[in-house]
Amino acid sequence: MNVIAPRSDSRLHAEQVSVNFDGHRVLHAVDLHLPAGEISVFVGANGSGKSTLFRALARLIAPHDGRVTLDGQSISHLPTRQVAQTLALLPQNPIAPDGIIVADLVGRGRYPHLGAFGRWSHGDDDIVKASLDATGVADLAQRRIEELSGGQRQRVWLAMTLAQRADIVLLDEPTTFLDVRHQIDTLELIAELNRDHGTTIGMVLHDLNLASRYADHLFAIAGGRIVATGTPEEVITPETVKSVYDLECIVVPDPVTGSPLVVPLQRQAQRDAHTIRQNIPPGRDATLP
Amino acid sequence: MSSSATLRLKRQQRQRRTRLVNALLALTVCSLAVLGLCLGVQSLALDQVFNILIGQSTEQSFVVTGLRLPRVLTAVVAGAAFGFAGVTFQVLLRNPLASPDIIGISAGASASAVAGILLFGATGLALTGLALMGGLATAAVIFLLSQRGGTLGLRLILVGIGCAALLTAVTQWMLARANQWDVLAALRWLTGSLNSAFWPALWPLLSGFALVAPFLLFAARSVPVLQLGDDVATGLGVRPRRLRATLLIIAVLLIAVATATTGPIAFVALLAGPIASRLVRRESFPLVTAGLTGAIIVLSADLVSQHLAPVNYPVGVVTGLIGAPFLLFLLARAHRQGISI
Repeated sequence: MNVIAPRSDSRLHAEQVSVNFDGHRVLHAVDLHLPAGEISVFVGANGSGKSTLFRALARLIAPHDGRVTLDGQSISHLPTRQVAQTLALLPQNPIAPDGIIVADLVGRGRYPHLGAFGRWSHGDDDIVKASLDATGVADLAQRRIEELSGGQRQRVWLAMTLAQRADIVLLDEPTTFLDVRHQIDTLELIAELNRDHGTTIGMVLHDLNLASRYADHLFAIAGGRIVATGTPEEVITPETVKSVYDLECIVVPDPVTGSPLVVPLQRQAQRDAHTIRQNIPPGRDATLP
Repeated sequence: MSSSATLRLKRQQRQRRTRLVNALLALTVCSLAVLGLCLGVQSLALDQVFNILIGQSTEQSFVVTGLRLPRVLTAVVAGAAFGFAGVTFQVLLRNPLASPDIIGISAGASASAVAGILLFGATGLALTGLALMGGLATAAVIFLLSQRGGTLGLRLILVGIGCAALLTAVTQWMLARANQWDVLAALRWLTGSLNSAFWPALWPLLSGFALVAPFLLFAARSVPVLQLGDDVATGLGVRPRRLRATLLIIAVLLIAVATATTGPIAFVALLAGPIASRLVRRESFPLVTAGLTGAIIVLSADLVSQHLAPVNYPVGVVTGLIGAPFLLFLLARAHRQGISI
């Protein structure tokens, strides 16, 4: 499953990317084409290599073998400012300097577009304003970051990423430490960005069900390799979940969106899967291991 | 309430405040400098000094252009260099204690200079060169020792404090073994003094500062992005390690060349940054403000030590008297509420 047919409209590629940590190979010659204009989600267990793959794609680490290309050119050889005009990224738990106010933080997203001497134009103010509006934090513009709640902060960071006006946005677990409502808020915002601007999204998500609901395309990663890829319907099967997470589950259609919904089995029930089959409400179509 | 016009207004207000503060500080530097040219054993009137400077009068011209002008210029440029270097270290290492005079770079310059004075009787340019090399070598050692693990920060500060203690002990050991006459010269240098600020000794400082400071001012525009952490900074198109190394090397050059000229004037590098960041609260990297603050500290401390103190103390005694309580304040505050400049 490691080879994916090249897509002509994809701009960000991993070509035979391998990464070592402490002499240990954590990513094995991964090939990947990030589908343009779609939401792609990387899923996998802790330590599967999904964050490493993300960091390699985002040029946060250099692969030991292979390369990451943007529009056909090796991303490590392109001027980093030029890359930043096309590719934005939001790492896990970004840190804000003490005392910084929201408008300033969001304004820093304009950095790759400013000239050599950092001159700021009226257009930059307009883009900052639009980004604050899009994420619903315009009222907080003059507040300090440390006064905000976790959910508001995440919106501010997203606003900064939006202000970068990049065609491709990579996000590493944008929903960690958020409660369920703010998780949905954040993902809706990302989906909106994709819908309204055709922005290509690549993100790492822990929650399989949220991944399945918001992704157009899933990459399932285990043992440093992509073990399954395709639409959520193609990827989220009891077999894949078993091989990726070592977890027995049933998969039912999400009652709201119809996307596949993973329902883990309890340890006891795993031994006795067919008891569950009898407990499923009539009319629900469930796939059992 | 937040239209893009409002955003623009708020941003411009902040910029105006920074410009205003910097203009006021620059004005203060100029006034203090003029005061320094006028005051002395034979005090001169403003118009006399002005006429001498533009070459209209030759009466007392040696006192002004030969003695007072180099002293004032040394105070301004060394103060600015201490301020620039201090605030750069403090901001990049995210800790107000991370100034070069705390983490051993000044101690390295001192040890090397004292060795020069005591062992070879070095003076003038040779002494400057020795202090410069000592500062750079110490910085290199500290960076190498704190590299493991990959992160700059607390580790560098601890390694630096350790190096400072070691180098101070070496300096003390050399002083204890030397003959008395040399010890006096060494001690005078160690306290940080402008008494030997004559033109020949001033050129390395002036040319070094003029060569290096513009790079720092240019690179400063990327620092706000760097403050968002290495990952976000990379995403915004900065190479964090390269940028940080460039900035720190420039800061080390500045501190070394200033220390080499005046001796380690205590606490100026430590004081300038935190004072500047209180003057322009919204600036995340108050480089210019810190440079001007440094110049004001050294100039005014020198005026105090020359004209207000009963004896002509070296300038470092005065800055030490202001600086030590401030260091205690920083330590107490850092302990209470965590660290930030």
